[in-house]
Amino acid sequence: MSIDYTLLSRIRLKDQAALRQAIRQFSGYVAAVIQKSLGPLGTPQDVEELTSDAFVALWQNAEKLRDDSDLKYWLAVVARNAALKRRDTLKQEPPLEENLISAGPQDAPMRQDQVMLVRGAVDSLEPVDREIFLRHYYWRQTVAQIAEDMQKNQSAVKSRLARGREKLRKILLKEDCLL
Amino acid sequence: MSRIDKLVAKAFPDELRSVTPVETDEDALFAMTLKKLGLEPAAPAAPEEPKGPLAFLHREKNQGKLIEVPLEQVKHRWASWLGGAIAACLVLSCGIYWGGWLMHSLGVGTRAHSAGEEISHPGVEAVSPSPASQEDVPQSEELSMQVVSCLPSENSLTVGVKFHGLSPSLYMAEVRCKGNELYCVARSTEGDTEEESTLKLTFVGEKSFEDAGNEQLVLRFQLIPGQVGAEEENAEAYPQQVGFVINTTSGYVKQVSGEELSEEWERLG
Repeated sequence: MSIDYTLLSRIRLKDQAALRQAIRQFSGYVAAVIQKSLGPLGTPQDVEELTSDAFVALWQNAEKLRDDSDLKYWLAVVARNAALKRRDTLKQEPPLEENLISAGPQDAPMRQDQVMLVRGAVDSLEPVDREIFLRHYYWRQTVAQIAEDMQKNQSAVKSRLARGREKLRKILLKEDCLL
Repeated sequence: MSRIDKLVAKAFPDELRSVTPVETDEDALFAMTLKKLGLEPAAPAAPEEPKGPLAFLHREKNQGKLIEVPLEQVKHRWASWLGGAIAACLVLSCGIYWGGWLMHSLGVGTRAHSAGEEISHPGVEAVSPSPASQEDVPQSEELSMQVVSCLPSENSLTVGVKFHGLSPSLYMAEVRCKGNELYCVARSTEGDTEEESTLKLTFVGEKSFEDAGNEQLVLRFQLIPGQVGAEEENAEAYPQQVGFVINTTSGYVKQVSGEELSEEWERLG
């Protein structure tokens, strides 16, 4: 029996001690995900509030979770989604850099082969380009923020992002999977 | 969210796992979470109630300061005497209870098992395996199956069977209930040790037991052919079949063996 399952079972029984244990065990990690997703826009109060929201969601949805759920990852996904939503309301952000790729229909279903191709393409980038690409498209950090964090100038970050997108475009075109 | 970052999010689920935790104020978070849930903090758990035959002595001790009696009148010496007496009684009763077993283990005396021992309460009595030909198979305390839990509901039944000295993997569980097809939907083993393990089986019927017009079922454990190799020392000691007749309404369990098992099995076929 996994530790997560034991904890989840107790939360399902509305055991407050189990909730406290979950907070003790995962809050540092959940807060870090939120902090990273909010970026410099997030205040410590935002981080604390969204972290608490993630545990509220756990308490309220414990019944619906599968017995073999990875609680840490589930909380992280909930936290990231909430943080990105909050971030959108905090500030009108510049759109992500994607002028070189046809954006395609926003709600077209994602195919598993497309996902795998994206993964392969990004993984094949140079480590620095990969990090910049993931910071921008996964963590939605702005070019300015990436440049500051990685101590590079903004144009260098932009050109590395463009390189990554171009590589992605070529691979997807070759596989007839243009976005 | 754009199409690209949706794809990237889907392609890199492990990005989330590589985040380094930060410091948080866990107490404040807990309080805030409770507040959002509209909950009052639960009272801290009461100290654990002492358990065991001498527990009442501890309770007496703990409650002592609540009794307004002059100290010189309180005589606690009786407690130690009574404790000693109870301990002696316990040792004596354990001796009587386990003496037979001990003697049997030491090879003194014998113990005959009656086939089809009735269990007055579900899952209470240990039943030793009852082979098709009982006289051929040595009976041993080291080798037994016991229904330890039986939870019937409208159309399902969960049975816990404790195996002692046997591996559940050697047995195939089969079930019969007249007028109702039963499917095993869950099978798990717990507390695996070399000596003991508990197999939990959940059966679900196509119909409710009431609709099937039959409140009895037979659970039969059949040795899987070829599983017990000749090299195993006690291969011949493994019973071929062990069965339990279970009442799905009351949870009443009766162990059956040999011919009785065959009859019950055929009757519900």
